[in-house]
Amino acid sequence: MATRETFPVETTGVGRKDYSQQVEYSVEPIVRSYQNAYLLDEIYLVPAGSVRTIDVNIPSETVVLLYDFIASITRNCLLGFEVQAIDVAGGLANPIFSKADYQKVEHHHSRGAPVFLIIRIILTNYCTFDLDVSVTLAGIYTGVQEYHQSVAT
Amino acid sequence: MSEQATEELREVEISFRETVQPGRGVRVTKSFHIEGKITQVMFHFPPGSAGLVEVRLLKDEKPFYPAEGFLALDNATPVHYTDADYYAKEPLTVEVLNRDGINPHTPSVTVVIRYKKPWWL
Repeated sequence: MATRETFPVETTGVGRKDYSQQVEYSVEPIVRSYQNAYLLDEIYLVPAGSVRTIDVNIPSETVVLLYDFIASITRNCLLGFEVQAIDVAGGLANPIFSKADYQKVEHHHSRGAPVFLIIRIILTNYCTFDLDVSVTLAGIYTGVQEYHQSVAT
Repeated sequence: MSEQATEELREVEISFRETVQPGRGVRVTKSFHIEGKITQVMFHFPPGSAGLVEVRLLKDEKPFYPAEGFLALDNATPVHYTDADYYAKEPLTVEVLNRDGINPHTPSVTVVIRYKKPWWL
């Protein structure tokens, strides 16, 4: 004679549908969040001895995860490169990194720096002549809801 | 002239197949009325359970397989070969904990018992 009892248990994650729900192909992963490549590749003129701040807007309901940051110039002089994230309108800018180097400034964020509203780029020209600074930011972008879901799971 | 005693052996499969809703656990107990030996224990984890469905078999209310804790796999059917004594009507209990927050899952457990055919069968 069989006995059967059920009880609640704590959940720890989300799997995939199986044949309990008439799904026979669940070995295929279900894509829960779509991600696209994000690339900002621009040249900004920074006058001699000055600081230029560039705000790059992100479309609403989108989050950009930035992994690679490169700023370079064709001359061997000191360049300051700072990137900040603004996540709320009128909110404080969260620094992602701040570096300075000669000719090329490079930064890698291994887990991706999330930016929800504005990417603020601050370029500092420490030279005595104007510079055309080539800035490249590379990463991915996805929906805010999907991002929070993937972080939660 | 000597007569060699032969005893006929038979096998029975005790199957547990349970669909467990998300965030629920199930405990099912079955038994077999004849003593014998447990020769195999098979667990099946459907594809999609993603290591979130924990299963274990208890024999007489004590963990039998795995010896401690639970087994939680995905798209796998491990078979455990054994030679453990089983006494008549000994309770075999399967516990399934579905820790998937959204999906129900249907793992299976099969216990094979080899027993001597009684004279009345």
